[in-house]
Amino acid sequence: MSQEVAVLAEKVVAITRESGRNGGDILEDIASTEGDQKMIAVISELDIMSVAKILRDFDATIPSIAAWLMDPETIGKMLDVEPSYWENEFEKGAITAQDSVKSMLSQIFLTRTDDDERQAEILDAINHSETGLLYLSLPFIGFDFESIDHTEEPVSGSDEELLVKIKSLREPIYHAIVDTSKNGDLEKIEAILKSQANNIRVGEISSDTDDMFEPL
Amino acid sequence: MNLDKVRTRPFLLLMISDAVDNGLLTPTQVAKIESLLVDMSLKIAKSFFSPVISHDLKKSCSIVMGITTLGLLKLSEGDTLKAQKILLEDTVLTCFRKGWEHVDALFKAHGADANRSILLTHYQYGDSEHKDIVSIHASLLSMQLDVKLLQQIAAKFKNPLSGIEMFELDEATIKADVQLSIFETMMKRHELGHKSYDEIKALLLSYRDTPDIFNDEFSDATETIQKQYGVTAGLRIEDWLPGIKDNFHENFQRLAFENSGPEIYISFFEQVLRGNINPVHFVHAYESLLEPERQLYPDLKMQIESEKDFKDLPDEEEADLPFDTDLISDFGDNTAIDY
Repeated sequence: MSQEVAVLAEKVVAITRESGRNGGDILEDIASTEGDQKMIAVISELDIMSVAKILRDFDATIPSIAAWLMDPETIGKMLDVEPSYWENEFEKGAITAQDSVKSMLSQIFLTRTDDDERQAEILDAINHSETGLLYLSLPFIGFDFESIDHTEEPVSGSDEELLVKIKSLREPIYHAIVDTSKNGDLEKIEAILKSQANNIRVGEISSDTDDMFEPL
Repeated sequence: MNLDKVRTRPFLLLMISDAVDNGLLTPTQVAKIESLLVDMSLKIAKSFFSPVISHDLKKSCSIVMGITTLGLLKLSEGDTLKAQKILLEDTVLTCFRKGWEHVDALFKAHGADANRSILLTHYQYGDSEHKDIVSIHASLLSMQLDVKLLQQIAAKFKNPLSGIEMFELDEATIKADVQLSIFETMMKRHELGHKSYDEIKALLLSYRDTPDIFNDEFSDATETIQKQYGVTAGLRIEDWLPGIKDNFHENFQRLAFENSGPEIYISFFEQVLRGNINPVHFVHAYESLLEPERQLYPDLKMQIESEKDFKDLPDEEEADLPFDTDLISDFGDNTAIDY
Protein backbone atom coordinates (compact mmCIF):
# COMPACT_ATOMS: atom_id res chain seq x y z
CA MET A 1 0.00 0.00 0.00
CA SER A 2 1.33 3.36 -0.94
CA GLN A 3 1.66 6.14 1.57
CA GLU A 4 -0.82 8.19 -0.39
CA VAL A 5 -3.56 5.58 -0.28
CA ALA A 6 -3.14 5.20 3.46
CA VAL A 7 -3.45 8.94 3.95
CA LEU A 8 -6.53 9.10 1.75
CA ALA A 9 -8.13 6.16 3.55
CA GLU A 10 -7.55 7.79 6.90
CA LYS A 11 -9.15 10.98 5.64
CA VAL A 12 -12.18 9.10 4.31
CA VAL A 13 -12.64 7.26 7.63
CA ALA A 14 -12.46 10.53 9.55
CA ILE A 15 -15.02 12.21 7.31
CA THR A 16 -17.28 9.14 7.35
CA ARG A 17 -17.37 9.22 11.11
CA GLU A 18 -19.19 12.56 10.80
CA SER A 19 -21.32 11.75 7.77
CA GLY A 20 -21.55 8.71 5.53
CA ARG A 21 -22.76 10.86 2.68
CA ASN A 22 -19.66 13.11 2.80
CA GLY A 23 -17.45 10.02 2.94
CA GLY A 24 -19.08 8.78 -0.27
CA ASP A 25 -18.62 12.14 -1.94
CA ILE A 26 -14.91 12.15 -1.14
CA LEU A 27 -14.58 8.68 -2.66
CA GLU A 28 -16.28 9.89 -5.81
CA ASP A 29 -13.89 12.84 -5.92
CA ILE A 30 -10.95 10.49 -5.70
CA ALA A 31 -12.35 8.36 -8.51
CA SER A 32 -12.91 11.33 -10.80
CA THR A 33 -9.56 13.00 -10.17
CA GLU A 34 -7.26 10.02 -9.70
CA GLY A 35 -9.07 7.13 -11.32
CA ASP A 36 -11.15 4.15 -10.25
CA GLN A 37 -8.11 2.05 -9.42
CA LYS A 38 -6.97 4.52 -6.79
CA MET A 39 -10.45 4.64 -5.28
CA ILE A 40 -10.68 0.85 -5.09
CA ALA A 41 -7.30 0.83 -3.38
CA VAL A 42 -8.63 3.33 -0.84
CA ILE A 43 -11.83 1.34 -0.26
CA SER A 44 -9.88 -1.80 0.41
CA GLU A 45 -8.11 0.06 3.21
CA LEU A 46 -11.33 1.17 4.88
CA ASP A 47 -12.82 -0.78 7.75
CA ILE A 48 -16.03 -2.56 6.91
CA MET A 49 -18.16 -0.42 9.24
CA SER A 50 -17.14 2.75 7.42
CA VAL A 51 -18.00 1.19 4.08
CA ALA A 52 -21.40 0.17 5.43
CA LYS A 53 -22.01 3.64 6.76
CA ILE A 54 -21.13 5.22 3.43
CA LEU A 55 -23.35 2.88 1.45
CA ARG A 56 -26.37 3.14 3.69
CA ASP A 57 -26.44 6.88 3.17
CA PHE A 58 -27.03 6.40 -0.52
CA ASP A 59 -29.92 4.74 -2.26
CA ALA A 60 -30.77 3.61 -5.76
CA THR A 61 -31.51 7.13 -6.90
CA ILE A 62 -28.06 8.40 -5.91
CA PRO A 63 -25.92 5.29 -6.06
CA SER A 64 -22.57 5.45 -4.43
CA ILE A 65 -19.77 4.75 -6.81
CA ALA A 66 -18.31 2.60 -4.06
CA ALA A 67 -21.11 0.07 -4.52
CA TRP A 68 -20.22 -0.35 -8.17
CA LEU A 69 -16.58 -1.01 -7.68
CA MET A 70 -16.38 -3.09 -4.51
CA ASP A 71 -15.69 -6.78 -4.87
CA PRO A 72 -18.56 -9.20 -4.10
CA GLU A 73 -16.99 -10.57 -0.91
CA THR A 74 -16.60 -7.10 0.56
CA ILE A 75 -20.23 -6.32 -0.21
CA GLY A 76 -21.33 -9.59 1.43
CA LYS A 77 -19.34 -8.75 4.56
CA MET A 78 -20.58 -5.21 4.60
CA LEU A 79 -24.21 -6.27 4.52
CA ASP A 80 -23.51 -8.55 7.49
CA VAL A 81 -22.66 -5.55 9.66
CA GLU A 82 -25.10 -3.03 8.19
CA PRO A 83 -27.95 -3.92 10.63
CA SER A 84 -25.85 -2.43 13.45
CA TYR A 85 -26.94 0.97 12.20
CA TRP A 86 -30.67 0.26 12.34
CA GLU A 87 -31.25 1.03 16.00
CA ASN A 88 -30.20 4.64 15.54
CA GLU A 89 -32.55 5.06 12.59
CA PHE A 90 -35.46 3.58 14.53
CA GLU A 91 -34.87 6.06 17.31
CA LYS A 92 -35.26 8.88 14.85
CA GLY A 93 -38.33 7.08 13.55
CA ALA A 94 -37.19 7.87 10.02
CA ILE A 95 -36.82 4.46 8.53
CA THR A 96 -37.63 0.80 9.10
CA ALA A 97 -35.27 -2.13 8.75
CA GLN A 98 -37.18 -3.20 5.67
CA ASP A 99 -36.66 0.19 4.00
CA SER A 100 -33.00 0.17 4.87
CA VAL A 101 -32.38 -3.27 3.36
CA LYS A 102 -34.49 -2.46 0.33
CA SER A 103 -32.46 0.64 -0.36
CA MET A 104 -29.17 -1.24 0.02
CA LEU A 105 -30.26 -4.02 -2.32
CA SER A 106 -31.66 -1.60 -4.92
CA GLN A 107 -28.40 0.27 -4.89
CA ILE A 108 -26.48 -2.91 -5.54
CA PHE A 109 -28.76 -4.66 -7.99
CA LEU A 110 -30.78 -2.02 -9.79
CA THR A 111 -28.38 0.80 -10.57
CA ARG A 112 -26.28 -1.06 -13.13
CA THR A 113 -27.96 -3.06 -15.83
CA ASP A 114 -24.92 -3.98 -17.87
CA ASP A 115 -23.10 -6.33 -15.54
CA ASP A 116 -25.26 -9.34 -14.68
CA GLU A 117 -22.32 -11.62 -14.07
CA ARG A 118 -20.89 -9.41 -11.33
CA GLN A 119 -24.28 -8.96 -9.74
CA ALA A 120 -24.85 -12.72 -9.73
CA GLU A 121 -21.52 -13.08 -7.93
CA ILE A 122 -22.57 -10.48 -5.37
CA LEU A 123 -25.84 -12.34 -4.82
CA ASP A 124 -23.89 -15.56 -4.27
CA ALA A 125 -21.57 -13.82 -1.84
CA ILE A 126 -24.48 -12.45 0.18
CA ASN A 127 -26.28 -15.77 0.15
CA HIS A 128 -23.06 -17.45 1.26
CA SER A 129 -22.88 -15.68 4.62
CA GLU A 130 -24.66 -17.19 7.59
CA THR A 131 -27.53 -14.71 7.72
CA GLY A 132 -27.39 -13.61 4.08
CA LEU A 133 -30.64 -15.29 3.09
CA LEU A 134 -32.44 -13.66 6.01
CA TYR A 135 -31.06 -10.29 4.94
CA LEU A 136 -32.25 -10.82 1.36
CA SER A 137 -35.70 -11.94 2.52
CA LEU A 138 -36.35 -9.23 5.11
CA PRO A 139 -37.73 -6.59 2.70
CA PHE A 140 -40.22 -9.04 1.24
CA ILE A 141 -41.92 -10.25 4.41
CA GLY A 142 -45.58 -9.42 3.95
CA PHE A 143 -45.13 -9.02 0.17
CA ASP A 144 -47.82 -10.60 -1.99
CA PHE A 145 -45.82 -12.81 -4.33
CA GLU A 146 -48.93 -13.85 -6.27
CA SER A 147 -49.31 -10.27 -7.42
CA ILE A 148 -46.16 -10.34 -9.57
CA ASP A 149 -47.11 -10.02 -13.21
CA HIS A 150 -44.32 -11.65 -15.17
CA THR A 151 -45.64 -10.52 -18.51
CA GLU A 152 -45.34 -6.84 -17.74
CA GLU A 153 -42.31 -4.67 -17.13
CA PRO A 154 -42.19 -3.97 -13.35
CA VAL A 155 -42.42 -0.39 -12.10
CA SER A 156 -38.97 1.09 -11.69
CA GLY A 157 -37.79 1.08 -8.09
CA SER A 158 -40.55 -1.25 -6.89
CA ASP A 159 -40.14 -4.34 -4.74
CA GLU A 160 -41.28 -6.27 -7.77
CA GLU A 161 -38.43 -4.98 -9.91
CA LEU A 162 -35.93 -6.07 -7.29
CA LEU A 163 -37.46 -9.54 -7.05
CA VAL A 164 -37.62 -10.01 -10.81
CA LYS A 165 -33.99 -8.96 -11.04
CA ILE A 166 -32.92 -11.45 -8.36
CA LYS A 167 -34.91 -14.17 -10.09
CA SER A 168 -33.19 -13.47 -13.38
CA LEU A 169 -29.78 -13.63 -11.72
CA ARG A 170 -30.18 -16.75 -9.59
CA GLU A 171 -33.52 -18.54 -9.65
CA PRO A 172 -32.81 -20.93 -6.71
CA ILE A 173 -31.94 -17.97 -4.45
CA TYR A 174 -35.16 -16.31 -5.52
CA HIS A 175 -37.19 -19.36 -4.46
CA ALA A 176 -35.36 -19.52 -1.14
CA ILE A 177 -36.23 -15.85 -0.59
CA VAL A 178 -39.90 -16.50 -1.36
CA ASP A 179 -40.01 -19.40 1.12
CA THR A 180 -38.20 -17.50 3.85
CA SER A 181 -40.27 -14.36 3.57
CA LYS A 182 -43.54 -16.29 3.52
CA ASN A 183 -42.68 -18.22 6.69
CA GLY A 184 -40.52 -15.64 8.42
CA ASP A 185 -41.44 -13.42 11.32
CA LEU A 186 -40.33 -9.85 10.71
CA GLU A 187 -39.43 -9.03 14.30
CA LYS A 188 -37.48 -12.23 14.81
CA ILE A 189 -35.48 -11.93 11.61
CA GLU A 190 -34.75 -8.30 12.37
CA ALA A 191 -33.50 -9.27 15.82
CA ILE A 192 -31.32 -12.07 14.46
CA LEU A 193 -29.73 -9.81 11.84
CA LYS A 194 -29.12 -7.07 14.35
CA SER A 195 -27.57 -9.28 16.97
CA GLN A 196 -25.43 -11.03 14.34
CA ALA A 197 -24.19 -7.67 13.08
CA ASN A 198 -23.54 -6.44 16.61
CA ASN A 199 -21.63 -9.61 17.40
CA ILE A 200 -19.38 -9.19 14.39
CA ARG A 201 -18.85 -5.57 15.31
CA VAL A 202 -18.09 -6.11 18.97
CA GLY A 203 -16.21 -9.37 18.60
CA GLU A 204 -15.55 -11.69 21.50
CA ILE A 205 -16.47 -10.39 24.92
CA SER A 206 -14.73 -11.91 27.90
CA SER A 207 -16.51 -14.98 29.19
CA ASP A 208 -16.64 -13.38 32.66
CA THR A 209 -19.65 -11.37 31.54
CA ASP A 210 -21.72 -14.40 30.51
CA ASP A 211 -24.02 -14.18 33.49
CA MET A 212 -24.14 -10.40 33.79
CA PHE A 213 -27.89 -10.25 33.20
CA GLU A 214 -28.58 -12.84 35.88
CA PRO A 215 -29.95 -10.99 38.90
CA LEU A 216 -27.84 -11.76 41.95
CA MET B 1 -11.34 10.32 50.87
CA ASN B 2 -11.66 14.01 50.07
CA LEU B 3 -15.00 15.68 50.34
CA ASP B 4 -14.74 17.50 47.01
CA LYS B 5 -14.26 14.16 45.32
CA VAL B 6 -17.31 12.76 47.04
CA ARG B 7 -19.53 15.40 45.58
CA THR B 8 -18.69 14.78 41.95
CA ARG B 9 -17.97 11.09 41.51
CA PRO B 10 -19.94 7.86 41.60
CA PHE B 11 -19.50 5.77 44.73
CA LEU B 12 -17.99 2.95 42.66
CA LEU B 13 -15.18 5.15 41.32
CA LEU B 14 -14.57 6.64 44.77
CA MET B 15 -14.15 3.19 46.27
CA ILE B 16 -11.79 2.12 43.51
CA SER B 17 -9.61 5.22 43.70
CA ASP B 18 -9.47 4.98 47.50
CA ALA B 19 -8.35 1.36 47.25
CA VAL B 20 -5.69 2.39 44.75
CA ASP B 21 -4.50 5.25 47.00
CA ASN B 22 -4.23 2.86 49.91
CA GLY B 23 -2.27 0.38 47.85
CA LEU B 24 -5.00 -2.25 48.12
CA LEU B 25 -5.50 -2.59 44.38
CA THR B 26 -2.58 -3.20 42.05
CA PRO B 27 -2.49 -1.66 38.56
CA THR B 28 -3.14 -5.14 37.14
CA GLN B 29 -6.29 -5.48 39.22
CA VAL B 30 -7.46 -2.03 38.20
CA ALA B 31 -6.85 -2.92 34.57
CA LYS B 32 -8.96 -6.05 35.08
CA ILE B 33 -11.81 -4.03 36.59
CA GLU B 34 -11.59 -1.58 33.73
CA SER B 35 -11.71 -4.23 31.05
CA LEU B 36 -14.65 -5.89 32.77
CA LEU B 37 -16.54 -2.58 32.82
CA VAL B 38 -15.75 -2.07 29.14
CA ASP B 39 -16.98 -5.55 28.26
CA MET B 40 -20.17 -5.04 30.22
CA SER B 41 -20.76 -1.73 28.44
CA LEU B 42 -20.27 -3.36 25.06
CA LYS B 43 -22.70 -6.05 26.03
CA ILE B 44 -25.30 -3.46 27.04
CA ALA B 45 -24.75 -1.61 23.76
CA LYS B 46 -25.07 -4.84 21.81
CA SER B 47 -28.19 -5.99 23.59
CA PHE B 48 -30.12 -2.74 23.91
CA PHE B 49 -28.65 -0.10 21.60
CA SER B 50 -26.16 -0.11 18.77
CA PRO B 51 -22.44 -0.72 19.22
CA VAL B 52 -21.56 1.39 16.19
CA ILE B 53 -23.07 4.71 17.24
CA SER B 54 -20.71 6.60 19.50
CA HIS B 55 -23.38 8.19 21.66
CA ASP B 56 -24.98 4.77 22.17
CA LEU B 57 -21.62 3.49 23.40
CA LYS B 58 -21.28 6.42 25.77
CA LYS B 59 -24.82 5.83 27.00
CA SER B 60 -24.04 2.16 27.62
CA CYS B 61 -20.93 3.06 29.63
CA SER B 62 -22.93 5.42 31.84
CA ILE B 63 -25.63 2.81 32.31
CA VAL B 64 -23.06 0.27 33.46
CA MET B 65 -21.65 2.89 35.80
CA GLY B 66 -25.11 3.60 37.19
CA ILE B 67 -26.20 0.02 37.67
CA THR B 68 -22.86 -1.13 39.09
CA THR B 69 -22.84 1.78 41.53
CA LEU B 70 -26.43 1.00 42.50
CA GLY B 71 -25.44 -2.62 43.12
CA LEU B 72 -22.37 -1.70 45.17
CA LEU B 73 -24.42 0.69 47.29
CA LYS B 74 -27.06 -1.96 47.87
CA LEU B 75 -24.52 -4.67 48.71
CA SER B 76 -22.51 -2.46 51.07
CA GLU B 77 -25.45 -0.41 52.36
CA GLY B 78 -23.26 2.64 51.78
CA ASP B 79 -20.60 1.42 54.23
CA THR B 80 -17.20 2.24 52.73
CA LEU B 81 -15.36 -0.54 54.52
CA LYS B 82 -17.86 -3.12 53.37
CA ALA B 83 -17.73 -1.71 49.84
CA GLN B 84 -13.95 -1.96 49.77
CA LYS B 85 -14.11 -5.54 50.95
CA ILE B 86 -16.59 -6.39 48.18
CA LEU B 87 -14.36 -4.81 45.54
CA LEU B 88 -11.29 -6.68 46.77
CA GLU B 89 -12.89 -10.06 47.31
CA ASP B 90 -15.51 -10.04 44.59
CA THR B 91 -15.77 -8.41 41.16
CA VAL B 92 -17.58 -5.42 39.72
CA LEU B 93 -19.65 -7.96 37.85
CA THR B 94 -21.19 -9.05 41.16
CA CYS B 95 -22.05 -5.42 41.85
CA PHE B 96 -23.60 -5.07 38.43
CA ARG B 97 -25.68 -8.19 38.94
CA LYS B 98 -26.93 -6.87 42.26
CA GLY B 99 -27.89 -3.63 40.51
CA TRP B 100 -29.47 -5.58 37.70
CA GLU B 101 -31.64 -7.40 40.21
CA HIS B 102 -33.22 -4.04 41.04
CA VAL B 103 -33.43 -2.93 37.42
CA ASP B 104 -35.12 -6.22 36.68
CA ALA B 105 -37.76 -5.41 39.29
CA LEU B 106 -38.48 -2.18 37.39
CA PHE B 107 -38.71 -4.12 34.11
CA LYS B 108 -41.19 -6.50 35.71
CA ALA B 109 -43.27 -3.62 37.07
CA HIS B 110 -43.51 -2.20 33.56
CA GLY B 111 -44.54 -5.52 32.05
CA ALA B 112 -43.24 -7.50 29.10
CA ASP B 113 -44.14 -4.93 26.45
CA ALA B 114 -42.21 -2.06 27.96
CA ASN B 115 -39.26 -0.61 26.07
CA ARG B 116 -36.34 -1.74 28.17
CA SER B 117 -33.76 0.38 26.37
CA ILE B 118 -35.67 3.50 27.35
CA LEU B 119 -36.03 2.33 30.96
CA LEU B 120 -32.29 1.66 31.11
CA THR B 121 -31.43 5.23 30.13
CA HIS B 122 -32.73 6.37 33.55
CA TYR B 123 -29.71 4.68 35.13
CA GLN B 124 -27.07 6.69 33.27
CA TYR B 125 -24.40 7.96 35.61
CA GLY B 126 -21.46 9.97 34.27
CA ASP B 127 -18.07 9.57 35.91
CA SER B 128 -17.87 13.19 37.07
CA GLU B 129 -21.32 13.96 38.39
CA HIS B 130 -23.23 13.42 41.55
CA LYS B 131 -26.44 11.47 41.60
CA ASP B 132 -28.34 9.67 44.29
CA ILE B 133 -28.79 6.59 42.17
CA VAL B 134 -30.44 4.63 44.98
CA SER B 135 -33.25 7.18 45.38
CA ILE B 136 -33.58 7.58 41.63
CA HIS B 137 -34.13 3.86 41.34
CA ALA B 138 -36.49 3.80 44.32
CA SER B 139 -38.68 6.56 42.91
CA LEU B 140 -38.74 5.03 39.41
CA LEU B 141 -39.93 1.78 40.91
CA SER B 142 -42.48 3.23 43.31
CA MET B 143 -43.88 5.50 40.60
CA GLN B 144 -44.44 2.56 38.29
CA LEU B 145 -45.93 0.40 41.04
CA ASP B 146 -48.32 3.24 41.81
CA VAL B 147 -49.33 3.51 38.16
CA LYS B 148 -50.03 -0.19 38.15
CA LEU B 149 -52.07 0.06 41.35
CA LEU B 150 -54.08 2.96 39.93
CA GLN B 151 -54.76 0.95 36.79
CA GLN B 152 -56.02 -1.91 38.93
CA ILE B 153 -58.20 0.46 40.93
CA ALA B 154 -59.56 1.98 37.73
CA ALA B 155 -60.41 -1.46 36.39
CA LYS B 156 -62.15 -2.42 39.61
CA PHE B 157 -64.20 0.76 39.77
CA LYS B 158 -65.07 0.88 36.10
CA ASN B 159 -68.71 1.86 35.83
CA PRO B 160 -70.94 2.03 32.73
CA LEU B 161 -72.40 5.35 33.92
CA SER B 162 -69.02 6.96 33.45
CA GLY B 163 -68.31 8.12 29.92
CA ILE B 164 -64.55 8.00 30.21
CA GLU B 165 -62.51 5.51 28.20
CA MET B 166 -59.86 3.44 29.95
CA PHE B 167 -57.02 4.98 27.96
CA GLU B 168 -57.92 8.50 29.08
CA LEU B 169 -57.46 7.71 32.74
CA ASP B 170 -56.01 10.16 35.18
CA GLU B 171 -56.14 10.23 38.93
CA ALA B 172 -59.03 12.72 39.10
CA THR B 173 -61.14 10.55 36.82
CA ILE B 174 -60.47 7.41 38.81
CA LYS B 175 -61.36 9.38 41.91
CA ALA B 176 -64.68 10.31 40.30
CA ASP B 177 -65.39 6.64 39.59
CA VAL B 178 -64.66 5.80 43.21
CA GLN B 179 -67.01 8.58 44.30
CA LEU B 180 -69.71 7.13 42.06
CA SER B 181 -69.16 3.71 43.53
CA ILE B 182 -69.49 5.10 47.06
CA PHE B 183 -72.79 6.74 46.20
CA GLU B 184 -74.11 3.56 44.58
CA THR B 185 -73.26 1.69 47.77
CA MET B 186 -75.30 4.23 49.69
CA MET B 187 -78.18 3.87 47.25
CA LYS B 188 -78.09 0.14 47.68
CA ARG B 189 -78.28 0.54 51.42
CA HIS B 190 -81.53 2.46 50.94
CA GLU B 191 -82.67 -0.01 48.29
CA LEU B 192 -82.81 2.60 45.59
CA GLY B 193 -82.46 1.84 41.89
CA HIS B 194 -81.26 4.20 39.16
CA LYS B 195 -84.84 5.03 38.17
CA SER B 196 -86.13 5.99 41.63
CA TYR B 197 -85.65 9.68 40.89
CA ASP B 198 -87.91 11.06 43.58
CA GLU B 199 -86.52 8.79 46.27
CA ILE B 200 -82.98 9.75 45.28
CA LYS B 201 -84.00 13.38 45.48
CA ALA B 202 -85.41 12.85 48.96
CA LEU B 203 -82.28 11.02 50.05
CA LEU B 204 -79.99 13.75 48.72
CA LEU B 205 -81.99 16.47 50.39
CA SER B 206 -81.94 14.60 53.70
CA TYR B 207 -78.17 14.21 53.37
CA ARG B 208 -77.92 17.92 52.77
CA ASP B 209 -79.99 18.81 55.82
CA THR B 210 -78.46 16.27 58.17
CA PRO B 211 -74.73 16.12 57.42
CA ASP B 212 -74.06 13.89 60.43
CA ILE B 213 -76.23 11.14 59.07
CA PHE B 214 -74.51 11.47 55.72
CA ASN B 215 -71.08 11.35 57.33
CA ASP B 216 -71.93 8.14 59.17
CA GLU B 217 -73.34 6.48 56.09
CA PHE B 218 -70.36 7.68 54.07
CA SER B 219 -67.99 6.00 56.52
CA ASP B 220 -69.99 2.77 56.37
CA ALA B 221 -70.02 2.80 52.58
CA THR B 222 -66.31 3.48 52.23
CA GLU B 223 -65.53 0.79 54.77
CA THR B 224 -67.57 -1.71 52.75
CA ILE B 225 -65.78 -0.69 49.56
CA GLN B 226 -62.32 -0.78 51.09
CA LYS B 227 -62.97 -4.27 52.41
CA GLN B 228 -64.36 -5.41 49.10
CA TYR B 229 -61.37 -4.26 47.03
CA GLY B 230 -58.48 -5.44 49.17
CA VAL B 231 -55.93 -3.83 51.43
CA THR B 232 -53.58 -2.14 48.91
CA ALA B 233 -56.35 -0.60 46.82
CA GLY B 234 -58.16 0.37 50.04
CA LEU B 235 -55.09 2.15 51.39
CA ARG B 236 -54.41 3.91 48.12
CA ILE B 237 -57.91 5.42 47.94
CA GLU B 238 -57.95 6.35 51.62
CA ASP B 239 -56.28 9.70 50.95
CA TRP B 240 -58.99 10.56 48.46
CA LEU B 241 -61.87 10.02 50.88
CA PRO B 242 -61.86 13.39 52.71
CA GLY B 243 -61.81 15.19 49.36
CA ILE B 244 -64.62 13.01 48.06
CA LYS B 245 -66.65 13.67 51.19
CA ASP B 246 -66.25 17.44 50.81
CA ASN B 247 -67.23 17.09 47.22
CA PHE B 248 -70.48 15.39 48.18
CA HIS B 249 -71.32 18.14 50.67
CA GLU B 250 -70.69 20.77 48.02
CA ASN B 251 -72.87 18.97 45.52
CA PHE B 252 -75.70 18.69 48.06
CA GLN B 253 -75.66 22.48 48.49
CA ARG B 254 -76.07 22.95 44.76
CA LEU B 255 -79.25 20.86 44.84
CA ALA B 256 -81.14 23.88 46.18
CA PHE B 257 -81.29 25.21 42.62
CA GLU B 258 -82.88 22.12 41.11
CA ASN B 259 -86.49 21.00 41.03
CA SER B 260 -87.80 17.65 39.92
CA GLY B 261 -86.38 14.19 40.66
CA PRO B 262 -84.98 13.40 37.19
CA GLU B 263 -83.39 16.81 36.96
CA ILE B 264 -81.66 16.38 40.28
CA TYR B 265 -80.66 12.88 39.30
CA ILE B 266 -78.97 14.04 36.09
CA SER B 267 -77.20 17.02 37.53
CA PHE B 268 -76.07 15.16 40.61
CA PHE B 269 -74.44 12.40 38.60
CA GLU B 270 -72.98 14.92 36.23
CA GLN B 271 -71.33 16.62 39.20
CA VAL B 272 -70.09 13.38 40.70
CA LEU B 273 -68.53 12.30 37.40
CA ARG B 274 -67.11 15.73 36.60
CA GLY B 275 -69.26 16.05 33.50
CA ASN B 276 -68.18 12.75 32.03
CA ILE B 277 -71.47 10.88 32.19
CA ASN B 278 -72.20 8.27 29.58
CA PRO B 279 -75.32 9.69 27.86
CA VAL B 280 -76.57 6.26 26.82
CA HIS B 281 -77.32 5.46 30.45
CA PHE B 282 -79.15 8.72 31.10
CA VAL B 283 -81.67 8.58 28.27
CA HIS B 284 -84.37 7.32 30.63
CA ALA B 285 -83.82 10.19 33.04
CA TYR B 286 -83.86 12.74 30.27
CA GLU B 287 -87.06 11.28 28.85
CA SER B 288 -88.85 11.53 32.17
CA LEU B 289 -88.04 15.22 32.54
CA LEU B 290 -90.89 17.65 32.09
CA GLU B 291 -90.87 19.63 28.86
CA PRO B 292 -89.64 22.97 30.29
CA GLU B 293 -86.89 21.25 32.19
CA ARG B 294 -85.65 19.54 29.06
CA GLN B 295 -84.84 22.96 27.72
CA LEU B 296 -82.36 23.31 30.56
CA TYR B 297 -80.34 20.38 29.26
CA PRO B 298 -79.90 21.07 25.56
CA ASP B 299 -76.30 19.88 25.67
CA LEU B 300 -77.22 16.55 27.11
CA LYS B 301 -80.06 16.19 24.64
CA MET B 302 -77.76 16.88 21.72
CA GLN B 303 -75.29 14.40 23.05
CA ILE B 304 -77.97 11.73 23.40
CA GLU B 305 -79.32 12.36 19.92
CA SER B 306 -75.96 12.26 18.27
CA GLU B 307 -75.18 8.98 20.01
CA LYS B 308 -78.49 7.60 18.77
CA ASP B 309 -77.95 8.82 15.21
CA PHE B 310 -74.54 7.33 15.13
CA LYS B 311 -75.86 3.96 16.28
CA ASP B 312 -78.63 3.95 13.67
CA LEU B 313 -76.27 4.56 10.78
CA PRO B 314 -75.79 1.56 8.51
CA ASP B 315 -72.15 0.52 8.22
CA GLU B 316 -71.45 1.81 4.76
CA GLU B 317 -72.87 5.24 5.49
CA GLU B 318 -70.80 5.51 8.60
CA ALA B 319 -67.64 5.80 6.58
CA ASP B 320 -69.20 8.50 4.46
CA LEU B 321 -70.76 10.90 6.90
CA PRO B 322 -72.98 13.62 5.42
CA PHE B 323 -70.82 16.18 3.76
CA ASP B 324 -72.11 19.10 1.81
CA THR B 325 -70.56 18.70 -1.60
CA ASP B 326 -72.66 21.54 -3.01
CA LEU B 327 -70.64 23.91 -0.90
CA ILE B 328 -67.57 23.07 -2.92
CA SER B 329 -69.23 23.57 -6.31
CA ASP B 330 -70.64 26.90 -5.15
CA PHE B 331 -67.20 27.91 -4.12
CA GLY B 332 -65.90 26.88 -7.52
CA ASP B 333 -68.47 29.08 -9.28
CA ASN B 334 -67.55 32.10 -7.27
CA THR B 335 -63.87 31.85 -7.92
CA ALA B 336 -64.19 31.38 -11.70
CA ILE B 337 -62.70 34.42 -13.39
CA ASP B 338 -65.12 36.04 -15.80
CA TYR B 339 -63.42 37.97 -18.56
